Amino acid sequence: MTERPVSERARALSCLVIAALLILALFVPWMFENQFGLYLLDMALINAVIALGLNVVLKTGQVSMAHAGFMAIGAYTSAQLTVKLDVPFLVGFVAAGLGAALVALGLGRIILRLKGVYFLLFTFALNEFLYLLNKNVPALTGGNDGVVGIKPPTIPFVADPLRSKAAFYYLVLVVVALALAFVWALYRSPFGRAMDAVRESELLAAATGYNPMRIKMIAFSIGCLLAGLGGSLYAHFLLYIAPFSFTFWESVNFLLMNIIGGSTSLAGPILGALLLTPLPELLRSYVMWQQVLYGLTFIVFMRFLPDGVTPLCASAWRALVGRLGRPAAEPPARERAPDPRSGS
Amino acid sequence: MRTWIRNVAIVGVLAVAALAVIHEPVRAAKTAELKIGFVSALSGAGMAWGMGMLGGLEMAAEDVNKAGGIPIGDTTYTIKVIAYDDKYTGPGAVQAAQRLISQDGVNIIVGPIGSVPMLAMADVTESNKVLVFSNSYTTKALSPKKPHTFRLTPTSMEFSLPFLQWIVKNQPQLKTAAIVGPNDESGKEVASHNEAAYQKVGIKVLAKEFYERGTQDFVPLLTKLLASKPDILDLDGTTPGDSGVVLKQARQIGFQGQIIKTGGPGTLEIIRVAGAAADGFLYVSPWDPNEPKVKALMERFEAKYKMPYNPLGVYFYEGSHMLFDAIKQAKTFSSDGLRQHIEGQKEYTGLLGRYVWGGEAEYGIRHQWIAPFYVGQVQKGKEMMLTKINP
Amino acid sequence: MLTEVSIAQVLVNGLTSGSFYVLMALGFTLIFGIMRLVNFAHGEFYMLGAFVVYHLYGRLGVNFFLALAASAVTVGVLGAVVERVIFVPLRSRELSMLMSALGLQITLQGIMAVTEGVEALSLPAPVSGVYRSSWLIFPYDRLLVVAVAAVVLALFYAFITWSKFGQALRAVAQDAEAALMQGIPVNRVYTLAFAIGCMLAAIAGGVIGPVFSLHVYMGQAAILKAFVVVILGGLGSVPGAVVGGLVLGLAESVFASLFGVLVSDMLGFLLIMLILLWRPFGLLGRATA
Repeated sequence: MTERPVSERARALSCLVIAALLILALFVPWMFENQFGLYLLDMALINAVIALGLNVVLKTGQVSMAHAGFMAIGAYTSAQLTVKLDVPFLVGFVAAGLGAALVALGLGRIILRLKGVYFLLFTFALNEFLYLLNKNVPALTGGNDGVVGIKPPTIPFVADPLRSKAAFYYLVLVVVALALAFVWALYRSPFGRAMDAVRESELLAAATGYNPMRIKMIAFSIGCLLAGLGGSLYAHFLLYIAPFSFTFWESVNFLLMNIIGGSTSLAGPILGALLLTPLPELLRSYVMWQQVLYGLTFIVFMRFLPDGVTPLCASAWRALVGRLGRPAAEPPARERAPDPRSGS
Repeated sequence: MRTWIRNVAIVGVLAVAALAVIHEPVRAAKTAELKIGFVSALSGAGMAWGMGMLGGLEMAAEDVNKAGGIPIGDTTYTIKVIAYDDKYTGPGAVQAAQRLISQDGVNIIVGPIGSVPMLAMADVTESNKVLVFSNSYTTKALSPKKPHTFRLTPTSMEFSLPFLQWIVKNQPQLKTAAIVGPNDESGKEVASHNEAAYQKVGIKVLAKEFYERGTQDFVPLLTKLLASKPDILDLDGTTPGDSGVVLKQARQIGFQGQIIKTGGPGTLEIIRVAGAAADGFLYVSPWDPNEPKVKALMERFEAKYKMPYNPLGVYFYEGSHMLFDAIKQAKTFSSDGLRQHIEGQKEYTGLLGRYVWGGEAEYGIRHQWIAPFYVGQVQKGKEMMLTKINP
Repeated sequence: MLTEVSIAQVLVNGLTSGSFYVLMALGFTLIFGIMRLVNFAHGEFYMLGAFVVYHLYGRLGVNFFLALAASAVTVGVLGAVVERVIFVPLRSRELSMLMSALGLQITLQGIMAVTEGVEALSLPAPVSGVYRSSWLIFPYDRLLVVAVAAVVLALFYAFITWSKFGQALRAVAQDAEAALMQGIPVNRVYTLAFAIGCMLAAIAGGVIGPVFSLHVYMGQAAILKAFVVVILGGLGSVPGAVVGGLVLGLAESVFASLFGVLVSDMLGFLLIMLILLWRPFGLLGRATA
């Protein structure tokens, strides 16, 4: 994609905005007198980690409906290790991510052969199967009762334990920032380009010398690793997990975050998570209609905004900044190859 | 590079917007309003129970407000109910409780229903010293470690044994039983209490089967369960809608034994779904629907909410009145003051009769409300109460 | 354990539920075969069909079969409208169509939950009574479903093989571009296919509803079964749906008798995963480009 010439002032403005936002992010807990807002924010950031993981999987063209299942693997690993074996939080956290990644790696070999709708259906069945399995092996997962009494995270030298929502906010913020940085670097690296190639055409990618299977497996593992980490954070935030939190509908939710936020850019899943997590709270007065609203939103977005909200903001931003510099000519609309992630 | 900067900026702007939306200032507490929080399933599968509970609370609040409110000192308080839907899930309950506590500033929550929401919410409510008056069948709900949690509904722990004792006395020919229940925490809890109760009265449990919520065809399960030809089929913690289908299908495949239910009321729905197959069905009922005062309450609920009143709700009508009474007498609604007053309550007399607090032996803490209940039987499509069992 | 229960009963139970599943899955596999769309909203059309029959037959006393036909037509028309409005603009975007179908499912269920309430309703069956013999028990309302399933299959087969529309459907399923070049109005065929799929779902709902119970969430169970059946038999294959349905019904019945229904529930999803890995086109499907 051709880079548009940027005016100096536009660039300076961008940097200023980002710097301001970063500083603002550090002060967020002070802005909130009210614990409930912080609670929602913490949940949104946890969801952002998982949605980001799904984005990595989507980038290779595989639509997974099992992300909640991998989140569950992470959540239960972390929960059981810390509750039953008294393992410190950080160990449980890392184990959660690794556990999910290992399962993904193991399964990936056999399931990533499936393409398109078949992969989707498989992951749907996988999620449901894991959910039922979870309910029926109480020895391992606590069954229907789930895991009670999970301890809040303890970070040596920093917090022992981390009880307040504000403190948790910083923890998740750090995780999100690190995850974002990692994924950003990944996407810009040659591996990222390989991912794009695989998504656009596996056949062509193989012909060019890539190994699509290996690329998909690595992407899938990374995506599920993030889901596992998110699951661990979730467990240590709510302090209680049960099978019901990890159904197919949760997976759909993470997909929705990517769709609404826009799966083609990194901002998408973060945005999606920030928008979708507090949404039920805003709609509390209309509980019965909430479901109808959700469904209609799906349909409207798929029809009119397949790339999510990001392009809208992008145009708005461009319009704003354009006044400051010389706007370049728009690249022709269909120069981009169709992106199966957004269904275009 | 430019795209990236743009993207981060977009995230930032929208994040700020989202934060601005979430961030609502805590509402200034009105001095003459007593806010009571409510959490339960107000949509989806558990809605009949949730609405029943809410109806009980709201009707009791209406009664008290009409009579002039609650005078404490020289302020008269009107009761305001703030209700949130937890969709019968753990995270839903936690979120609702968080909002009630942080945003709405309540320190009394009525609800939830369901073991998972109950257990999930416990951490939030106990650490904030919020008094909880709940439903939910799990034994783990009450414990000495949760001094602020009370339970208003008797669970199978409380009524299974008396019910089964009555059955053994009146139908001594019944010697064996089979249990069917939903595969969730409530279902399994109820089944284990019932098994213990069966053992105490000398009835042998031949088999038990659990099914996933959403199952519609119970014939495979029933074929297996009833193969050992038990005298009793116990519907346990099955939801009323499912119970109707189980009843109907059990009779269809030829089961002629006694069908009973030791948990989760909702007989009207059962009769509606099962039709004639429900005749002879024995169950535990919180109330006698043929009694005029109860009938009046049922009609009042139906007029207000346009749906039938689930019997479970009556415990919340009575319980809420008890709560408001306690606040009036204790002259406070602070957590510690109110809690101590309720713990010291000897008994309460309500619409249905006499209630006492109990539960030390089972839970280690005397926070279980023990209520009278009825043994009911469906006769020719109608509910008839056979006997009343008092605490 | 199996010996306590008559083996014949287990088999009959299995074949009976199998026919239920075939009926549920027929419309679903049709829509996939012709439009390559996984219609997530299939269960909701099934539910709508049941509710129309409930209102016409259960509450107004209209003749059952007339009510069933009316239900099929109503839901079919609704399907056609939905197809035009939602899916036509998304024609080439498979993922978008899929997600829209999911959105449709959520919307329809939500609307019905608001208008009909969430309590279970009872829909009396047009036939009652039970056939009893020493080794077999067979309720007549289930027999009716099996009969309707057989009739519907026969009619559908006749339609597909001998009618002009049916032939057009098969042509489009085989190769849409070639069909277009032949002058077949492919877009109209898609709409018709979707409408027929919804009609089949509605008939399934209307006739199966009385056997179980009626509520706005009944579609969930139906579509889960349809998924398993269709993947077993092959996405898009009608004979596959028949084989898949019967196989699933039998397998579940046997597993339930041996291990209990919780295991047989997991069986369905396990089967989906295994079939997708081993033979993605199902037992009777063919590899399509």
